[in-house]
Amino acid sequence: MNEIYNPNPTILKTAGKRGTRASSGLWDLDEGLAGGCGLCDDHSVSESIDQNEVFDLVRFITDPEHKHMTLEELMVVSAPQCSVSNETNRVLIEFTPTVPHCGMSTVIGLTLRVRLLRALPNRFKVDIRVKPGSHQSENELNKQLNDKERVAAALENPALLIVLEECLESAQNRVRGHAHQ
Amino acid sequence: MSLVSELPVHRSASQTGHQDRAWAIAWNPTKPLLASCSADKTVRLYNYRITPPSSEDEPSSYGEGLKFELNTSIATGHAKTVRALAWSPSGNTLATGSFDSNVGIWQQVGGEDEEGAWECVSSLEGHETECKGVAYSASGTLLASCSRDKSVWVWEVLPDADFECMGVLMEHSQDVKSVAWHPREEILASCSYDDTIRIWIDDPQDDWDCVAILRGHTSTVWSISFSPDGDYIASGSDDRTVRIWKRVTQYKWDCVQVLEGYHDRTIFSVAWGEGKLGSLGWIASASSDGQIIVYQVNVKGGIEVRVLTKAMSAHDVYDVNCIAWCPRKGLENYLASCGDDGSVRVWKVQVGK
Amino acid sequence: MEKVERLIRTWVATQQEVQVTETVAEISGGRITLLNVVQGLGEYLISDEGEMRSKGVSFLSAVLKKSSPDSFSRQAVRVLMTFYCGKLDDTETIVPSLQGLVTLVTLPRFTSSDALEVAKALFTHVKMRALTVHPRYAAFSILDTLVSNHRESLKSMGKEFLTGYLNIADGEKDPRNLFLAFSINRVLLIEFDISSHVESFFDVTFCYFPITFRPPPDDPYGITPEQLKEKLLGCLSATPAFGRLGIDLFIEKLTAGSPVTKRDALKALQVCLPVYGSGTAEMSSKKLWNCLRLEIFQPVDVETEDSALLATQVLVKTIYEGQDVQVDGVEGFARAITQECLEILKQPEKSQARHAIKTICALLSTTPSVSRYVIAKAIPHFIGLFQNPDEIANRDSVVSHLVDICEALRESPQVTNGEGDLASLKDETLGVFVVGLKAFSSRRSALRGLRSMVETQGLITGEELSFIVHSVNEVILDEEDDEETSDALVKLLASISTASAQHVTGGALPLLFIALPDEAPSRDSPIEISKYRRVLQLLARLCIQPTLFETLVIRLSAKLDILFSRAVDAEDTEPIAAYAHSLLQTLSRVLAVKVKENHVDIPKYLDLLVIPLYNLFVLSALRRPDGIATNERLLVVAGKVISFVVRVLFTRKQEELVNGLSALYQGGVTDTITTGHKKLPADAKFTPFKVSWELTPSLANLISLLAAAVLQLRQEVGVPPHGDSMNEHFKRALVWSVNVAQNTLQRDSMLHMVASRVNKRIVDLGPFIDELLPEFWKEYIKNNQLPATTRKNALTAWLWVVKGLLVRGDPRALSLTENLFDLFSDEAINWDAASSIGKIAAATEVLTKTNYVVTKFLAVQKFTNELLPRLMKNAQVSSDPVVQTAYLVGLSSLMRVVHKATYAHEMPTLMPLLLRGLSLPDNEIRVGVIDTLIATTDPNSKDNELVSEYASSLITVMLKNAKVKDMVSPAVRVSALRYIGILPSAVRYDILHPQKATVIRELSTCLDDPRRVVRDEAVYARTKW
Repeated sequence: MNEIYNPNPTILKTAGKRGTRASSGLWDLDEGLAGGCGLCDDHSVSESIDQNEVFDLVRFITDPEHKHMTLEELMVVSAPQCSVSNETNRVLIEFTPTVPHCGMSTVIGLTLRVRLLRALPNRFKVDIRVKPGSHQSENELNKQLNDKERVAAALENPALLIVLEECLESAQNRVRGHAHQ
Repeated sequence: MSLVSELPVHRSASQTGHQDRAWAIAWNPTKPLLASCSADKTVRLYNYRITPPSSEDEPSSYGEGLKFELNTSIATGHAKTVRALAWSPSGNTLATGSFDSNVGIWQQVGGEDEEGAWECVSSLEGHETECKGVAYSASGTLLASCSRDKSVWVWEVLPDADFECMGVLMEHSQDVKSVAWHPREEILASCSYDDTIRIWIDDPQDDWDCVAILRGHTSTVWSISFSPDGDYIASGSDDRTVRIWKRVTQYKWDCVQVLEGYHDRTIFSVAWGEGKLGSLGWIASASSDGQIIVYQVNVKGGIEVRVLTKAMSAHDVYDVNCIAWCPRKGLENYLASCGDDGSVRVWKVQVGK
Repeated sequence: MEKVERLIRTWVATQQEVQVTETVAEISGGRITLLNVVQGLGEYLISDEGEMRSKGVSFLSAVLKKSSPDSFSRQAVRVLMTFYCGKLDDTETIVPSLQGLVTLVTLPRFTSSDALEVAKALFTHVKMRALTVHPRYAAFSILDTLVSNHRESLKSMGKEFLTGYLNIADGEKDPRNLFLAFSINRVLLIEFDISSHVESFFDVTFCYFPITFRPPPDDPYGITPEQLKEKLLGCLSATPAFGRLGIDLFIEKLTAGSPVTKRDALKALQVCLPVYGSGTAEMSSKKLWNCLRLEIFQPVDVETEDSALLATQVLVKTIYEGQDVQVDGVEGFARAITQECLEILKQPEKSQARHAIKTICALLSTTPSVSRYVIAKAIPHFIGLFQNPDEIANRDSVVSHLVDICEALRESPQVTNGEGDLASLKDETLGVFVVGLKAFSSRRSALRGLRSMVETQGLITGEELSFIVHSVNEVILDEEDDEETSDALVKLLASISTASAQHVTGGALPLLFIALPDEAPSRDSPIEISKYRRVLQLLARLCIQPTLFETLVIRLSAKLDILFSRAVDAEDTEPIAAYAHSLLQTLSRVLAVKVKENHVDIPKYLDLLVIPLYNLFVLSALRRPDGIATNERLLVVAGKVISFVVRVLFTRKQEELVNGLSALYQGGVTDTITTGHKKLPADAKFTPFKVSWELTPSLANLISLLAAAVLQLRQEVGVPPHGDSMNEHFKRALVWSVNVAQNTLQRDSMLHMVASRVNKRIVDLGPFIDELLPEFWKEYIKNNQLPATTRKNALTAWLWVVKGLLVRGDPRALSLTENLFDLFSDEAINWDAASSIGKIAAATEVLTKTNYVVTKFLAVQKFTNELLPRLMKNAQVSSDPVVQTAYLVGLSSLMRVVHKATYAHEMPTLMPLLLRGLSLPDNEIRVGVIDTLIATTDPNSKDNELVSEYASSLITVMLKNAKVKDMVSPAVRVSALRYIGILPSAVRYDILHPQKATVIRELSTCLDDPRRVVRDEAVYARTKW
């Protein structure tokens, strides 16, 4: 990590809004805000996990190289880059490294994996790839990030794990914030 | 194919159980023992006995069955995930390969009886990074291990749990995922993240040589298995295909079949067993897509493969990491599997129906 | 004389206070003199035994300390002084001598010449390293006193004093002593001529920087690191002489140090630079900037970054203070960094730009000339970028940087004129923002920019205002705008309308009103719907000042009239109702704000809004009983509007209104109320209380509007019927709520009125409470012949009366509540009876001070303190399981509504009960219990013993409540997961560890919950584990 791959990345100004827009039904009722976590205790309702929810899970992960900036701000991930299928139980994230030679991409990919590993139901098969054409060694990267044996081994490496946890910390807390807005 | 028995799930909270993904399983060639290993650094041994037809022990309604129970759970002392397992042909020694880069050698001290505890009699250090595969040669005199450090090591098995390194095979350009021995000759096969399979023999002049490179898979080759007669190799890959290779001359194998379109995610394991029917026995393949598929292989001029049966989501929503045919006489139609759910399951392929 | 000797002898033997005080008394009594004492000590002072000598002197010092300052003659002082100084070279007597001197030097008759001698003596004899903390402290206090009382004469000692002092101070470590040393230091540095000792003083002060000491837990002197830092800073910044050396040291600390050290160094720089002066500052500016740049552009944390920016500001101030030059006269440092930053800002979209702009903004509030220079360079820089076609993609960044500058200028005090102030570049800047408006990407920033310009004093002319409004109007109705953008939009318009309202009324408002459709959009045109909603949101935020609000009321009332008449013969009325609802909600939202800000114009809306509303609803309800006028949601929000207005009416107005209303609702004369323009037809028969099922049931919903007004009545305002019939009337009301009311809206409206009246007019209601209510209890609640539902409704009716009493601290509240316990064995309604206890104690918007309700401080708490122990006891011991459970239900219902302080101490007893509560088949109870548990579990201390003790059972039961397959209610699942989520921070790891694997595995199923709110909690909880 001594070498800085991208000292001055481009950043996204209008970051931070929740992926999901306020629902527009017929009625504009205050109850939502009032009821704490906003659930009318209707047992039938079912909201399936969607693009925005997956995005909300990863957007606030911080960059291993710029600890004060989130993957969203750095435009590494965005809602359209997360695809979800509840039928085939697949999740695919195509992230964009800040620079095509970014040596941190593996770590970023790993943070994404770990986050989803912890936050998504087991039924989902998760694939993490870099956006086509966004990294000079795209194929190696993809192959590595989706080799479950290598990932498993990486997650048994204490030093690496510390880095990952740092990056994941804010993801956790920020999403918490959302859960209660 | 029907689920005969779900063994005590590794993930079950029971303190003796694995708490994490189960990576590999191995049937003891001589005793009624099945071994499994897991990311939780333990190895579990199960006894089984044959139950008479229509005994209430028998979950699947007809025919004889197997009844399993946990024999013991070994806290291996490996510092990391235990990735691979292999029994010596004698059935007295168990080898474990771990992400901590060591190979452990286990024997039951204090006699064969149930009471004898399994202890680590030797630890083979040599690999620089995660050990991913181990295998005993047919004679039991050689042990092979492979690792992410791109090397395959061949060890000579000496008396008193002593081992000597016979060779370090460094020709793969990436992680070596798995190793397998020819059922009779001293021919070693290894498969790798570099998409190739390599065949090795002990050259009398100098030490081990790569005599053949099998190319064709378009991504990581995860698993290889020799056919019982030794003339064929089956390989499973991240490219979602199973390939069958025929030994055309002494040291030349050609791809004669590509089983495509059966699995839609990485194939982690292939196993080639005697089976009950078909001149060349049965191949089983297991994948991240949760399926276990059993193919029957016949030779009619060319080689002919047809799907005999399959189990969808064999481990619920989880990946299936490893499968193995029971090597013991009369039980050739029993198949064991383990998966990310930490469970070990045993399957019986029904025949003649 | 021999008395003295006796005293001394005994003291030397015993060291008791008595002898000291006696001696002091003797002296002050004039019976002996200090000199006698000294003589008396003679034998000890010359004794060969060190201990004897030291005791001798100690005695003297003790006496000295106790005696009154004036009891010492000049001569005595002199003698003592020489005496003590003489004893300083004796290692046995030095310590007590110092003690003595501490007192001596403070004496009024202690002269400057004495001071000199003492100082000399100290310097020659006292070897600080040889002494322990306390005598060292004594030495410092002596010097401190000397320095503060005899400064001038000490100065005359010159070098000798300084070197002497330096020897004393050198190497001191004790914080308390340093505290003194530092204050002495500062004086010397400022007042003495240290020019020849700068180096040495530098060493004895800067060697302590940065202060790292942490006070011991039981520090008797309670010196905080902060205080010590302050003191030290006082020295560091005492003299310009330290300049060069100091700065170098700071730089060293800044480059080497930990974040804390960095911040200390930066703080020190901010304080010291101005003292060290512009010359020094300028000389070291390059070196300094090299460090500061690092802290600003690769910040370790925000705090340090800000501090570095501040330091930079101070540095620039110090260098340029007093320089008043023209823009291009600004040379050197400021110029250099400005250019450096602007260079970076050539790539405005990059992350480094963030730091660069911060630096630029920091420079803006330094000195006028620098600020002018920066403005003159920076603003054109961004305008240039903005106009550069290649930079179009980055316009948002450009604009927002420009905004940062404007905002910084708005904050910064100096308003300059001529070249290099914002005014001179106003048009260009304005131009950028206005163009920025047009593109969605840069709109939000542009709006912010315009706002900060509008808010900058005397910058924007009226003409320009209308130009801004005009350009805003062009984008005001753009649907693609997200909340943030509309928010910025409103904020801008708001500050414009404070600047001058007519620009908004004349400009923006009409546009918005026109954008509101007359017809309600049909349910299948969501765009239309979200459009009117957005417009209304804007209006709600804008129309708060009286003039604007009046316009709003008139416009929206008009819309409402149209909608209601349309609704009379519409097919699908729901969309109309929804639209009307949004309109009314807008009014109530604005009114809420106005009430909070005590606007005086609210009362007039009785006639302009409230009465018309009654008309509108009653009339349309009569025309079409199943129409929108009886729509519950609509009625609720209309009720809000009404209550906001009625609340602020004076007594007489309220009386008029309520009389009119009760007449109206009794189907009587309606003229009083229908002063509005739409008179009710004379033949209209509006009798909402007479509900007969076959015809127009839901007219009774309109009772909620009556309630809306009644709840707001002042205590002195009565409601017909007056007199005795009143009591009967109240019982009838209860019965009505049980037998007649068709839905909760009707029931609650009635009961809320009852509760509120009972509370405010209890004097007139004696018979009702004491006779009729018990009657009602017997007939409707106790009576197990009636169907359970009837009895439950009756229970609800009854408990509202009790609530009314409880809030005003009426003792009958408790005695009435007693009755509930009789029902605990009655399985038909025992749970309802039990949870009524909590419902009675629960706070409610119906009964609040703002509604003129009579409240008694702690009334509810007294109530709980009465009941809690009883509930707890019986929930444990009660023999009959049915009753026992009922008590448990009562308990949890009560705990849920009271502050945890009331039961915290009981938790050990409560915990097992609560756990049982979690298995009761009633979700509301479970949520209640879990919330209670959350309230009583401190997530910031690892030793919640109780929780630790029950951890495993808590985990098990919570997991059960968290899984959708075991628990249908999302609310329960959320609470349960929340609890699981706080456990790891509330309980030691070793206790939880055995559970960890299970919890993680079990939670993974919760990750797949059908409801997102639940999943969010699950994700959080799981990651916490």
